[in-house]
Amino acid sequence: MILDSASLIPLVLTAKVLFYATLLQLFISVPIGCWLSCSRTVFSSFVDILVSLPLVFPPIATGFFLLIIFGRKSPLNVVFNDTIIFQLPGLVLAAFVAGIPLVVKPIQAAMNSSEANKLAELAAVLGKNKLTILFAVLLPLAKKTILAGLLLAVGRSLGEVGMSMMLGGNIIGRTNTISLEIYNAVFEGEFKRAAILSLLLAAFSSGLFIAFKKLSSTT
Amino acid sequence: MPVTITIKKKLPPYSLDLSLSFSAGELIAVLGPSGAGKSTLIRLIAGLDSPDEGTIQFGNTTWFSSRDKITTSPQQRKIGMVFQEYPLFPHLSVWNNIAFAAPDTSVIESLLSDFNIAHLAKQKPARISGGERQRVALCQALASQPELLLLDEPFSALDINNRQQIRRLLKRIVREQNIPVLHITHDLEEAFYLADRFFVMENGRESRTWLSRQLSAGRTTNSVYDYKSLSIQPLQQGKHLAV
Repeated sequence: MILDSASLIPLVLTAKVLFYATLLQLFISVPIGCWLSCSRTVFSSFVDILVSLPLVFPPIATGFFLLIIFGRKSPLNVVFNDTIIFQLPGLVLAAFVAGIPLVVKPIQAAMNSSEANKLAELAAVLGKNKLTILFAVLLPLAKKTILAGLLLAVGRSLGEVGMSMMLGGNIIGRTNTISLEIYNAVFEGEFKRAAILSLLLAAFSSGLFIAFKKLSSTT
Repeated sequence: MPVTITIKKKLPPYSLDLSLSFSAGELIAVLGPSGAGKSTLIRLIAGLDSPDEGTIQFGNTTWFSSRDKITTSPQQRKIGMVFQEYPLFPHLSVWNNIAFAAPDTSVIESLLSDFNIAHLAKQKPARISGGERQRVALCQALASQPELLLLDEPFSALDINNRQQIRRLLKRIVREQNIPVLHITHDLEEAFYLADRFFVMENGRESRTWLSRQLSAGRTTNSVYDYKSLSIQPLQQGKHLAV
């Protein structure tokens, strides 16, 4: 067998992380992108900066701050009761945060494009309210952009190491995603296993890239 | 419903500053050089932009008043508008583009038939020509059963045959529905054929001289130059500049 049972656990774990992180992107990042594209308040500017930070901020530092925010000594732990850090939700949080800007920013760009503005004005003149304009005009227009953003976020989450290490702890059999397991394999001198896992990651990422290119060419 | 407009808006390098009123069933051709502020004028009337000061009154309803701080949204103004680039919803078929504005299917069927585009009903906008898109945009504007029609060069992409046919059709519909129309055009022949009155703009203000300069210098499009006698004739038949 190419992969031993020790490698299957990270595979299944990574699949779970990607699944939950993508759901969060869909239900949190997409609405944030829509809201930021039409809001011009001080608060929305602050949120805009916040969601853009993972693009430029070192992942290990972002992970550290998230560890402080969600850690055992944080006031938020009263709510979460040690269910985030060093467990699956911590890894999902890391994957989610890493992918946020890759979903939000393209949506903002698509919904603020001159074509989107013209069509929103056309719909407004035809008597449609803002909610109808969003669901009947802007979201269908941005559909491919949203899908492309989600693909990019999945790709980014797949290779996430810094934040995952901080929030997940890289605990063998519990929070070691594929990316972390490659690091572990190399650290233990198991280069063959590291190579197989790396090839798996590369194949999956290439698939995502091809899907992204196909979407982009039809946008 | 009569429409009364008195508005000012800074529009560097000049200021838009004009007064205009027109009544139900009246078709006003808005003429003037590029950059005169014609498209801005209809955007302000549609509620897509706000004047700095002034009033826009539609019948007994105030759409905009800087003094009383009233601004009604475009949704509340019951306007049909054809934009300069005649945008259509790219993800919807021609039928659904018109249905987006129409109250029922009989209106859509009648418009598709009147504008000779029934065969395009299932096509997406990307698959039809510029002239056909423009006809769909006109159908869409009329489908909403507007109380005021704002047209920004609505026939610019039509060939000569379609242009004449659609002009006649528009004139008939406007007369039947008795709605006021503001029609921006650079085509003087079209303006003379369609309009009851001209409103000429230059540098954001009403101009008394631009049109006569164009006519006397023959500085118009070839088609207008060919029709020069025709274009002057309506002036003698009672059409007058809104000055």
